[in-house]
Amino acid sequence: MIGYLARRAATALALVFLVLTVLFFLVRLAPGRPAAFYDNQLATADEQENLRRAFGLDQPIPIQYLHWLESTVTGNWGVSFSKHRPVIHVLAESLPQTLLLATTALFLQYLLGLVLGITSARRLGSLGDHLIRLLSLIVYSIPSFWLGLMALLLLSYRLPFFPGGGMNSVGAATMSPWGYALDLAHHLALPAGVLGIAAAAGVARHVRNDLADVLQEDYIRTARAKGVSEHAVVWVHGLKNAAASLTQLAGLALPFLLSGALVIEVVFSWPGMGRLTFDAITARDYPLILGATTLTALLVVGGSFLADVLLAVVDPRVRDA
Amino acid sequence: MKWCKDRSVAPFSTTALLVLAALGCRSDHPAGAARGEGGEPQQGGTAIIGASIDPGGLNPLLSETKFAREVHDLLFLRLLDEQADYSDHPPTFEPELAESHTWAEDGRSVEMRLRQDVVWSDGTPVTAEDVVWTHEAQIDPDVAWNWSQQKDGIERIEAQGPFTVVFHLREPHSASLADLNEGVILPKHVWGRLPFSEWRSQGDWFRENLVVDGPFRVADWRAGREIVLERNTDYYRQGFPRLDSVVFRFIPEKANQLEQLLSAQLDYAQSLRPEWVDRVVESERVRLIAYPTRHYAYIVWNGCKEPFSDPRLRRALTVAIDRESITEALYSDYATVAASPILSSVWAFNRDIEPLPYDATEARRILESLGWTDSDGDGVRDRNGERLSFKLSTNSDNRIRVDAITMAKTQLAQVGVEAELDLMEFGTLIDRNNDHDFDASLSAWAIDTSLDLRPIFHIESIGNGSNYGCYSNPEVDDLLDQARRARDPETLKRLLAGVQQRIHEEQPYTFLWEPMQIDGVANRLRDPSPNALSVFANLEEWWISPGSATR
Amino acid sequence: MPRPASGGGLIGAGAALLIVMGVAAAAAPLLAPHSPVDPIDSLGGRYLPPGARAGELRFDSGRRWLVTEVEIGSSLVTGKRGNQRVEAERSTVVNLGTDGRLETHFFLLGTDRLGRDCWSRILHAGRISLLVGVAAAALSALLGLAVGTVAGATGGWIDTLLMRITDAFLAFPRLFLVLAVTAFLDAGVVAVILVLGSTGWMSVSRLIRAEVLRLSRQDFVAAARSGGSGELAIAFRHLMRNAVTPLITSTALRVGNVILIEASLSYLGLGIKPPTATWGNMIYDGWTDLSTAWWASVFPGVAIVTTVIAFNLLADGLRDRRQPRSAGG
Repeated sequence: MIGYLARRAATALALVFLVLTVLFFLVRLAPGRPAAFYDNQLATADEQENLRRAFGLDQPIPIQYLHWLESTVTGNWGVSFSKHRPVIHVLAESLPQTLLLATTALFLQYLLGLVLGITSARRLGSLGDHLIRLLSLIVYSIPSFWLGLMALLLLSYRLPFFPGGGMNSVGAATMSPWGYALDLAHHLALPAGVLGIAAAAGVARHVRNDLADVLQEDYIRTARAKGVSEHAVVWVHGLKNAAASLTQLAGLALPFLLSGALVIEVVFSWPGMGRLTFDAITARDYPLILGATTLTALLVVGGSFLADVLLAVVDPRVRDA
Repeated sequence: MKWCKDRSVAPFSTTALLVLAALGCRSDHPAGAARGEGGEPQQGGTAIIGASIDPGGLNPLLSETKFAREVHDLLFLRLLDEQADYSDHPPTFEPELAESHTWAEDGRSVEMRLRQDVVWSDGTPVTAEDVVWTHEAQIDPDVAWNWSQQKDGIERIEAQGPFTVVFHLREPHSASLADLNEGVILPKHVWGRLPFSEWRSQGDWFRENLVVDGPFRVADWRAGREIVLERNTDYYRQGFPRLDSVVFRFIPEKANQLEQLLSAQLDYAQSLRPEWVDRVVESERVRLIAYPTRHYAYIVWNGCKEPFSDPRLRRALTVAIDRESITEALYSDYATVAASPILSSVWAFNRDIEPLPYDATEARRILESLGWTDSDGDGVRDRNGERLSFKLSTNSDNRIRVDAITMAKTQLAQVGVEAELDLMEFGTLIDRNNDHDFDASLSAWAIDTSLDLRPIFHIESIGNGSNYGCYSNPEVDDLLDQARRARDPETLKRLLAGVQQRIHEEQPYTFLWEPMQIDGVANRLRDPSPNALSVFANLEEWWISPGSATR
Repeated sequence: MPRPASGGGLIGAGAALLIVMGVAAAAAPLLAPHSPVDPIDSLGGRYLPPGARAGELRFDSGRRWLVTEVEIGSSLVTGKRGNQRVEAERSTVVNLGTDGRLETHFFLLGTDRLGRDCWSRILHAGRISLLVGVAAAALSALLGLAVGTVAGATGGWIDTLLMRITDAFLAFPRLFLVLAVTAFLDAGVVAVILVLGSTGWMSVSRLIRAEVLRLSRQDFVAAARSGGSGELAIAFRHLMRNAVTPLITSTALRVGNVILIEASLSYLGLGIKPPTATWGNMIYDGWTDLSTAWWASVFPGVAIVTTVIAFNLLADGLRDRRQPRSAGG
C-alpha cells in the first residue's frame, strides 16, 4: 500500500516538474526584465550587459534551463536576483512563518468545522441547523482578502484590539519566551482567524453530511437501542466513520490554505512565503518565483501523500484496495 | 550624472512651502519649526521607522532600491557629503571621510585627504587603500554595479600614502565631484577576501562579514520583518548618533504604516498620501513634514512618428489636459504643476517659464487649424481618414499615474481626441519607451543636481539613450553640448535657460507635476530634517524627547 | 425524521438572485446613471459618501466642477468643491438654466477616489465579473469533460497518464500558478478567462471519469452494446443523462470560485487592468482609504459575496436534488 502511494507521489513529482518547466519558459520568454535592470534607467549598454552576465541571462534560454535544472536537483535552487542569496536560504527564512499561519488556520478550521458540523448533524432540520448552514454558505462565499480587510477595518483600525499587521511587536527579540509567544499569538489571531474561518465552512458542511448519513446506519441505531449515550454515539461511532473523508479533506485543504495564505499574508503584512512570492513576481526575480512555486508544489504533494497514508491507516477499505 | 527612475506609488516634489503656509496647511519646515522645539537634545532611545520593503542585502554595490541605499548610507561613509542646498546655486559638498578636496589647475585630477581618525568597526583604520579598492569593485564587470558609468571619466585612482588619494581624470573635468563621490567606501581588508565573481551569489557572506564605519551598525535583521541598527560606538563623530538604536519595520502597505503611526507603533512613516494629511494633522501625537523631492512627472509624445512630430499638435494636447486640476486632485496642495525638465526648486530653473494654462477652446482651435475635424460625427477628430486616436500608457502598479491618465483621457475626449489607456508592467513600459514603440507615455524622472539633459533631449540619445520621443532641435543640441563643458554656474544657467525655453515652446513632453514628499513624525521624535536627497540625511542627529512617555 | 425540502427552495433562491444580477449586468448601460470610467470632476467628486448629492457647474473653458452647498447669487455662484470653498462668476457657468436651476447628480453608493459613481461602476463591473466567472467555469467544464471522458472510456495507459496530469495540476496551489502566469502575460479579460479556465478543470475530469467508469460497469450499457448502437454514442448518451447534474453543480460552484480568484488577482493588482472596472479592482482601488471611505471597498465586496452566494445556493440545491438522502449542507 505505502509502496503504491509512494509510486503515486513520485509520478506526481515528475509531473510537477513538467509543469514547472512550462512555467520556466513562460517566465523567461515573457517581456520585461528583472527589476535590477530598471534601477538606473539611463544605464549604459555595458552596464546592462554586465548585469545580464551576472544573472546568467546572457546565455541561450535552453542553457539557462539546464542551469535551472541543475540547481534545482542539486538543491540550492539558484541565486535570488533581488536578494543575492541562494533561493533556498531565502525560502527557508519565510517558510516557518507560512507553516505557522497555515497550521494554526488548519487547526481553527477543523475545530470550528467539527463543532458546527456536529451541532448541525445532531439536530437536522432545526433552526440551529439552518442558521449554521446559512452562515457557512455566506462565509464560504466571501473572498478571504475582503474578509481580512473588513477584520482589519473593524478590529484593528476602528477598535484597536489587534495589531494592523506584521508578526511581532518592536523589541520582540528581548522579550521572555512567554511574552514572545503571547505577542506572536496576538499578531497571529487575525490572519489565522480569517483564513481558518473561511475554510471552516467547508469542513462543517462535510461533517454534517457525513454524520447525518452515518447516524442513519443500522449499527448506530442498534447502539442507540442498547442505551449508549447520544454523546458517545456521535463522538465515538459517528466521527470514527467520518474520519476517512475528513482526512481526505485535510489533504485537499493544503493547497487551499497556501493559496489563501498568499493573499492573507499580503493583507496582514505577514512575512511568509506568499508575501515573498508576490514580491518576487513584482521584481521579476525569476529564480525566486520558480523556487517558491516549486516549494509550494512539493508541500502539496507531500501533504497529499501524508493524507493518503493517514487515510490508509484510518480506513481499512482503502488499505486493502 | 545620476538619473533614476521613480517607480514608487507616492513620490513627490517641489517649491511650495511658502504657498502651503499661505494656504493654512500645517507643515513643519524641514529645517525650521521641528528643530529646537523641545529643549536640549538627549542621548539614547529607539526610533521606529516604517519601511515598505526589506533592503534585500547589505552590499551597497548590489542593492537596487532607494531604501537599501539609504540604509547603506547609515552603515558606510562617503568621501564627501552632498548638501541639498541647490535652490540658489549648485550643491555644495561638506567633508565626510575626506577632510579636503583640491582640484588640480588643469582639471585633470583631484586630490582628497582622508581623516585619520576613522576606523572600521573591527578597529582597522579606514585608509586610501579602501578608496582605491572600492573604485575597482565599482567598475568590475562581475560586480555589475548599476551606476558604474559614473566612473567612466576616471582614468585611475592612486593612493599617495595611507591617507591621500588622487583621482586622475581622462580629460579635464571629465568627471564631476558628484561623480567622484558616488558610492560609499567599502572595507577592503574584509570584503576583499571574496573574489568579485562571487559577489552576486553570496549575499549571506556580506551579512556575516560586516564591518562598518558609519554612524550605525546592524544589530539584528529578521528578513521580511525588521532590521535593527544600533549606535556604532566607534563612530568618529563624538556624541553621535544620539539614538541608541533605530528599528526599520517592513510594512509593505502604506495604509498600514499610517495606522501604525497614528496608533503609536511607529515614530516615522514616509511618503504618506496627501489624502491622509487631515488624519495626521488631527492626531495629537504626530506631526507632518513636507519637503520637495527630485521628481517630476510628464507625458512624453512619440515624436518619432506622425502626428506627434508636430509641435503644434503637442501644444494643443498639452493645453487640452487640465494639469492643474489633475495635480490638485492627486496631491491636493502637495505638488505644483511642472513646466520644465529642471525642477522649479533647482537653481538653474528658468523662472520666465509658466505652465501653459488649461484651455480647451485653444486646443480645439489649434486642432481645427491643423485640419483635425470630426468629419464623420463619431466624436473623435480625423484628418484624411485617420482618427486622432492613440494609446496613452503607464505602469499599472502606480495608482497615481493610472488615475492621472484616467483623468487626462476624459479631458482629451472633450476636445475630440481619443486616448485609449494602455497599462503595463513597469519594465515593459520602459522597454517600449526605449524602443520608441508607443504613442504617449506617462512616466517620471528623478533628476540629480548635475543637470545634464543630454540623455533625454539630445539627438544622439535617440539611438542610445532615453530620448524616447525622438526630440531633435539643433539649437537645443548645441546648447546642451555647451552646457556639458560649462563650469561657471552663470554660464550654465544661461545655456539651460535657453534649452528650457525651446522645450517649453515645442512641448516634447507635457509636464505634469512636481510632487512633495509627506512624512509623518511622532512628536517625541525630534530634529528629523529629511531632504530631497535623503530622508535620513541627519538620522545621527535625531533624538527622542524623554518628556513624552508614550511612543 | 423530518426532512427539509429537497433543494427546490435553494435552487429557486439562487436562480432568482442570479437572474436579478444577470439582468442588472446586462442592462448596466441603461441602469447606470453615470459613466463607470469617466469622472465628472475628480476634485469635487472625490469620495462623496453614499446618498450624496452634488451639483455640476460647467464652465465656458471646458472645466466641470462638482459642488455641494451651492448658492446661486445674481453674479456669483458659490459652493464647496472637495474641502474648498469656491466661487465663480455666474456668467462663466454655461449649464445654469434660465430659471437658474442647477444640474444635480445623485450618488447612491457614494463615489470613488476619482469621483466616479460607485453604483455605476459596480453595475458595469458585474458584467466583467460574471463574464469571467461563467466563461472560465464553462471552459473548465469542457476541458474536464474531455479529459474525464477520454480517460474513463479508453482506460489503460492513457487513463493513467491523464489522471497523473490531473494530479500534477492539483498539486499547485492555484493562486500561485495563476499569479505567476497573469503577471507575465499582460492581463486582459480573455487572458484571465483562459488562465482561470485552464487551471480549474481537474475536479471535473475526476468526476466525469468516475461517472464513466461506473456506467461502463452497469448492465444496461452491456445491453445497449449488444443491441448494436455504436459504443461511443451509448457511452455519451448515458453519460450525459447521468453526469449532467453533477457537472452543472460543480460548474455553478466553480463560477463562484472563479469570481473569488479573479477578485484576489485584482486585489493584488495583477488582474484585469483599469479603466475596466471589476469588483476586485474596485476593492484594490478603495482599500488604501478603507478607514476614511469604507464604501469604496465595502460595496464591491458585497456584490461579490451576493453573487457567489447565489451560485453556491444554486449548486447546493442541485446537489440536494441529486442526493436527497443527505439533504444538502
